[in-house]
Amino acid sequence: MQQYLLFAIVGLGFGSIYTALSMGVVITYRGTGIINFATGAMAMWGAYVYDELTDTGDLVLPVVIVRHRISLGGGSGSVPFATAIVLAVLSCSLIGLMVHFLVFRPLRRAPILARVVASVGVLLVIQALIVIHFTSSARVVSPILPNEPISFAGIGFSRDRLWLTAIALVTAVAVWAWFRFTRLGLATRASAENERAISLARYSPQVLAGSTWVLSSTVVGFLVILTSPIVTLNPRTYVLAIVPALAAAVIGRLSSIAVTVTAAMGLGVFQSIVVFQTTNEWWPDWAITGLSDALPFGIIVIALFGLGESLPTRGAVEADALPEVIRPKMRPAVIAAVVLTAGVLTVVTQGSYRAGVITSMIMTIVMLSLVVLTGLVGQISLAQAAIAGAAGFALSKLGDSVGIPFPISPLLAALLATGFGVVVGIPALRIRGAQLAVVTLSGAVALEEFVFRNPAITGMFGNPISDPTLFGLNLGVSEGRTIARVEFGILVLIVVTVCAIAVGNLARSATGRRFLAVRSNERAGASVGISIAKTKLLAFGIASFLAGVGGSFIGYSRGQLSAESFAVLVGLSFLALAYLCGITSVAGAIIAGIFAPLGIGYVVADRAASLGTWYQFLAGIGLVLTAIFFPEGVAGAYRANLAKLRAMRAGRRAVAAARGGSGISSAVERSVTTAVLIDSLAEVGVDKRPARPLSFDAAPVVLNVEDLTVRFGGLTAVDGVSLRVREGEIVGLIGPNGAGKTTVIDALTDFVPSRGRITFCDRELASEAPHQRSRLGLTRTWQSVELFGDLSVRENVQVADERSSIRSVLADMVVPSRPSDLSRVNAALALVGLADDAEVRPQNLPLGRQKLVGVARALVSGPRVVLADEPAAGLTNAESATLGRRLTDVASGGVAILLIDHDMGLVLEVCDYIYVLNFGRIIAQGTPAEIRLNAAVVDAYLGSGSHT
Amino acid sequence: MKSRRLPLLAFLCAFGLFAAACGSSDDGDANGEPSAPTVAQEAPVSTGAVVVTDNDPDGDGAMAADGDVTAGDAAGDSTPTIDRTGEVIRVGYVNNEGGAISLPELRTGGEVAIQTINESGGIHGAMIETVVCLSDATPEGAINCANKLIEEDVVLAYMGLELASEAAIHRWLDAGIPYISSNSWGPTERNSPGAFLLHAASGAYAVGPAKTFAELGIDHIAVISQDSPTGLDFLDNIIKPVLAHNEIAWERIVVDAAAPDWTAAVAAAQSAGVEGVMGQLDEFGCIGMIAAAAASGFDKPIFAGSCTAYINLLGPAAVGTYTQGDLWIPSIADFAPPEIQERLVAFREEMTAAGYPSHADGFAIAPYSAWREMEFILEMIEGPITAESITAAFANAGETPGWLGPNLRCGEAPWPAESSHCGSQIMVWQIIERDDGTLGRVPIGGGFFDAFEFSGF
Repeated sequence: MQQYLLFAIVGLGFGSIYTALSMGVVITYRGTGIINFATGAMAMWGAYVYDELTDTGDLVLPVVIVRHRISLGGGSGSVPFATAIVLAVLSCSLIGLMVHFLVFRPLRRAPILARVVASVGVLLVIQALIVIHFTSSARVVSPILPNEPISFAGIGFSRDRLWLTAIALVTAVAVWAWFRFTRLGLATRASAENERAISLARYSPQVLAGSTWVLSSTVVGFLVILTSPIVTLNPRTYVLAIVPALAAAVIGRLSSIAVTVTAAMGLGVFQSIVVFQTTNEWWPDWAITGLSDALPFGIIVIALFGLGESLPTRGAVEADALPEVIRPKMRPAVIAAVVLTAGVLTVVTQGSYRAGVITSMIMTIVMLSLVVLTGLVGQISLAQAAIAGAAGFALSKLGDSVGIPFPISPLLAALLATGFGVVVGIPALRIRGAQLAVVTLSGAVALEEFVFRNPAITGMFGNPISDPTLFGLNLGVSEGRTIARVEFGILVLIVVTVCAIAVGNLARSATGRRFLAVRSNERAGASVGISIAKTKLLAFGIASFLAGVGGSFIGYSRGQLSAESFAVLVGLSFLALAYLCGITSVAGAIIAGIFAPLGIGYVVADRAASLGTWYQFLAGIGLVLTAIFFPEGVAGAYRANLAKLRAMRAGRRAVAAARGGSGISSAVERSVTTAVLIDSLAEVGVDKRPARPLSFDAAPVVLNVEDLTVRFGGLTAVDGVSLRVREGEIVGLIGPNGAGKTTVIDALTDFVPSRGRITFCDRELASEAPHQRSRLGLTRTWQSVELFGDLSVRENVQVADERSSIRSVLADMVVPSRPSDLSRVNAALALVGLADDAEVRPQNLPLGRQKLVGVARALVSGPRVVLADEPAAGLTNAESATLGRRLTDVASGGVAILLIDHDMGLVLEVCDYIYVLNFGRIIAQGTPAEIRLNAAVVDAYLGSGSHT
Repeated sequence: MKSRRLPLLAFLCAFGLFAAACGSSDDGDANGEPSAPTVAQEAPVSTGAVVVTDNDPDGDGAMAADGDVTAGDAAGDSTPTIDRTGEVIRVGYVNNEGGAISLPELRTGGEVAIQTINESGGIHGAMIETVVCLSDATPEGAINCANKLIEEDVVLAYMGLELASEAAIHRWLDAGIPYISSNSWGPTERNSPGAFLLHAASGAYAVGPAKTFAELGIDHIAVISQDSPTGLDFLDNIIKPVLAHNEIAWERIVVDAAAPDWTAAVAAAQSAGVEGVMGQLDEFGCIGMIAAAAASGFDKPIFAGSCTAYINLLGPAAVGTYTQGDLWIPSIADFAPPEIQERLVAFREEMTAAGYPSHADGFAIAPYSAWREMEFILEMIEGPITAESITAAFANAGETPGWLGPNLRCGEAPWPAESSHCGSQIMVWQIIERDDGTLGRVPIGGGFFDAFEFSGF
C-alpha cells in the first residue's frame, strides 16, 4: 500500500502539469467559449523565455523579421530569478493578449470550427517560433522550487512534487474564487453565454474576452514555468500534454474548476501507478502500450455518457452555426467534366505530379467523410484520420497476413473502420459541439496509442501493403522508378467518383434531409419522428466507411503505413483543411483533397519553394489568416460572393422592371399582403368544413393524462396535472406565463422526465422516446419555432412524413430523388397557406408564418393527437382567426388537438374544452363558456382582487 | 500522440556524438585539456592502414591510405587508374529540418565532407553534386522527398536524419536507388537489401550496457524505455537475450512517450530494488531520466544508452554515468590514435571554415565521417557510377576503412540480424569530472570492441 501511495505522490508532479493546462482550457472556454488547443504551446513559450533569461540574460520576443532578442543580462550573462520569472510570465500574458486581438477577436462571431482551426494555427506558429528562436534541442531548466530528495517507503523522490501540487491547488482555488466572487469573473462567465446581455450591463464583451485570455495565459504560463524543471523542454513537451489536459477539462464539463483539477491530478496519479504496475510479472504485454492514454478515453466516455443528455434541453445554449449547406444538384455535365479533368491529369502528368493528383483524389475520399459527418450532420470529429488509419492497418493485416485479395480486403477494412467509427461516435449520442470534438480527439489518441502503436496488434516492422491486382492486372501505385502508375490513378478515380456521387446523392435525398434536420435542431428532429441516435450513428458509420476507403487507398498509395500518418494532430489538420475548403459540399472536399499533404497543390507549392525552418510557421499563419478572412471556409466565401453577384443582377433587373412599370415581384407582394393566408385557405375551401359535434362525451379518449408531475431540482414545474383529450376534440391548455403549459407538452412528448401516467390510444407511454411517440401519432409544434434552417419549407414538412431503413439509405446513395407521394406534404402546406412559400428557407419568413410551418409539420404525418404550442403567436388577428378555422377543419377529420395559446379569442373560439394551469396545477377546467366566467381564471390572469 | 521518438531512439542507439556534452566551444566547459586517465593506454591505436591490433583482430579505428585496403576488398588490392573528370555524381540528401525536430548539423556535416572531397579532386575527378530535400519528419515529408529525388535521377540517397524513414524506404529500394545512412532510423532499413547503414548495428547498443554491468558485477538492473512498438521490440528481442547471455536479471519499465514521468520511472526502478539502470531512450528521455534520478538521490550506476546531450545539460548529475558510441569524437580525441586526432582537427577546421563552428561539437560528425568513408567505396567503382554500380560496390565492399571509427564491413552483415549495417563495434565511455571541475569522457573496457561477440546471438 505504501508503494501505491508513493507512486500516487510522485504522479502529482505530472498531475500539476495537467492541472495547469486543463485549468487554462477551462478558463478560456468559460470566458470566451473557445477550446484552445494551443494552450500548451502558449505556456511553453514562457518556459523557454524563462530558461533563456536565466541562461543567457536575453529576452526573446515572439516576433519575426524585426529584432526578437533583447539582452538584459549585462555582464553577468543572466538575469535574477525574480526578474526572469516575471518577464517570462508577462511574455505569456502578452501572447494571450496578442492571440485575442489578432486571432480570436476577429473570429468572435465565426463558427466554432473556424476557432478550432485558428487555435491549431496558433499552436503551429508558436511551436515553429520556438524552433526558430530557440532550436529544437532539448533544454533542462534549473530547479525553481526546493527539490531535495525525500525518502518514502525507502524510495527517494524530489520534494518539488509537493510544492508544485500545493501551488497548483492554491492557484486553482484563486481562479475558482475569481470566477465565483468577483464582478469581473461573473461578468466574464455571463459574457461567454450572452454577449448582448452583458453589454446591457455596461461591460464590454471584448474587454472581458481579452482579460480572459490574459488571465488564462498568465495562470498557465506561471504554473508551466514552475513545472518546467521536472520535464525536458523541447518543442513538443507541453504541446502533446494538451490531450490529457483536455480530457480532464471535459470531465469537468469545461466549466468546473474543482472537477477539472481533481481529474487532472487523478490522471497524473493514474499514469504514475501504471508505470509502477508495468514492472510486475503479471502485467500483460498487450497492456504495456498506450494503456495510460486509452483508459482516460474510456473514463471520459463513460462519465460524459452518464452526465450528458440524449437531447438538448429547453433553454440549452444553441450549438454554433455551421456554414450553410447548399445541396448539390445532379449535373451530369459538371460531373463528367470534373471526372474527365481528373482522368486527363492522371494520364498526362508524370512522377510526383501524377502522384499528387492521385493523392488528391484519395484525400478527397477522406474529406468526404467529414462532409457527411460534420458538414451534413454537424458532428465535429477529430478522429477521422485515426479511423482512416484503422482501415489502413487492417488492410495490411487482411491483405498481407491473411491473404484476402483485392477488392474484398479494402472493403472489409473499411467495414472494420465503420465499426471503430460507430464506437467513437457513441459519445455523440449525449455530447455535442466542442465537448464532442475533445472526446473524439481522446478516441483518436486511444486508437493511435492502443492499436496503431501496439506491437501486439499491428506489428513492429512496418505495415506493408501489397499492390492491388484484379484478374491478373497489376493496379499497384508504383513500379521501379515510376512513382505513380496510370492504372492505379484510374482505379482511384473510379472509387472517388463513386464516393463523391454517393455523398452528393445522399445530401439530396431523404437521408440527407434527416441529416440536416438533426444538424439544424435535434429536438425538433425527434419531435417529427427522427431517431437522433440512429441518425447520428448512421452518419458516423457512413463517414467512417468513407474514411476507411480513403485509409485503404492511402495504404495502397504508400505501400507501407506509419502511425504518424494518422496521428492526432493529423486528424486536427484534416478537419481544419476540410473546413477551410468547404466542409458542407462535395466541391469543398475536392478542394481540400487538392491541398492535402502530398496532394497536387502541396506538390506544386513544394516544388516552387522550399521553406525549410519557416514551413511550419508559414503553414500556421496561413491557417489563422484563412480562418479569419474565410470563417465559413473558402467555399462559403465563394458562395457568398456568388450570392451577392446574383443579388446585384437581380437588383438591376428589378429596377429595370420597375422602370418598365411591370410591378413588384410576387415574393415582395406576399410579404406585404396581410390576406395571403386567408386567400390560400379560401382556395382549399374554408366553407366546406363539416359541422363539429356539440359534445365529445361519446368520442373515444385518445390522450389521458393522470397525475403528471415534472420537477427541475427543487422546483415543481408541473404538479399532478390530469387531463383528457378525445378524438376530434380541441382542448385548450391555458394559463399565465410560467404556469407550466409548455412543460406539460415537453413531458407528454418525453422531452423532460416526468412522473404520472400517460395513456395514448389505449397504450400507456412510459419508455417511448420522443421520436417514437411522434411515430405513434402524438406530434407537437413548438413555442420557440424550432424549424430546420438548412431545409426549405417544403422539406421541413416532408422530413416529418418520411421514414428510413437501411434499404432506403442505400437506395438514397444511388437514386436520391425517387418518385414519392408529396400529396400529403402539399396538402399540409396548402392547409396552412404556405404553398407559395414551399421553396424558401423558413428563417426567411415572418415569425407567424414560421409557426405555421411547424403546424404543417405536425400535421403531415397523419397524427392522432397534435400538441400545438402557441401556433398563433406572431399572426395577425385575421390570420389567427383563419388558423383557428383550419384547426377546426383538422379536428373535424378526427384529429385531437391540445392547444396552448395566449390568443384568448382563438382559444375560446375553437376549443371544445379548456384546462387552466397556474403554478403547475390545474386550477380550472370546463367549456369555454364556463372558463370565461371562472373567478380563479380571472385571478390567475389578472391578479387576485381584479374581480372585486 | 507519441510522435516520432522511436526513430529518434534509433538515432541515439546509433551514436553518441554530441560532443557538446563535454566539448562545446560555445559553453566552454569541457573541451579543455582532459586529465589522462589510465584507460588511455587501452585506447585503440591506429596504424595508418586498415588496422589489426593485438586486442582487436577486426581492425578498428583508422583509415588506410587510398587504395590500401587489406581485407575483403571486392575491388581488388589496388585501385585502378580511373579518370572521371567532368562527370557529376548527383546524390540525394534528405534531412529533417523545419519541424519540431530540426537538426541541420546532420546536413552540414555531410555537405562539408562532400565539399572537402570535391576540393581534393572528387571521386577520380567526378564532382559530387548534392540535391537536398528537407523533410519535417512526417511520413508525408519522407515520401515527398523520395518522389522528388527519384525524379531528380540521383544515384544514391543519403539520409542525414529521417525519422520517418519507414514511410519511404521501400520507394527508394523499389527504384533501385541505394539507401545509405550512418545509422538506422527505423526497423525496416536494418534488413533491407539495398540499404547500407555504415556504422554500428542497433543491437550493438544493447551489448555495451550488458557488458559494462557484468564487468561491474551487477546482476539485476532496470531497463527504462519509452512506449513505442520499436522500443518494446528492442526490449524483447535484443535487450532481453543479451542481458540473459550476460546473466543479468532485469525489470522492464515503460514510460509514456507523450508525457513521460521520469520520477515515476526512477521510483519504479528503486521499488524493484535494482542495482543499476539502463536507459533505452532518446536524448530527451535520457535527460529526463538522469535528472530525475539525481533529484531522487538514486546513486546506482546508470547507463544512458548512447545519449550524450544530457552530459552538458545536466553537468554534475551526469558524472559517473555511462554512455557509448561508434565514432571517435572531439571530446575524447586525446584517447584516439594520432591519425584520428588529425582528422578530428581537420573536421573542426573545415566545419569552422564552412561557417558551422558550433556544429563541429554536435551530430555533424556522423555524416561527415560517413561521407569520407563513402568516398573510399565510391572510388572502388570501375565502370559508370550509377545506382546499380553503387549498390553493387557497397554490397561487395567487404572490409573498408573507417574515417573516424572502426572499419566498415558493408555486405558482410557483421551483425547478422541487421544485415544492412556495416559495423558492430562500439566503445563505452564513462563521464568523469576532471580536476578543473569540467566534465569529460573516458573510454573504458578496452576501447572499441565487437559487440556481436558478447551478444549471445
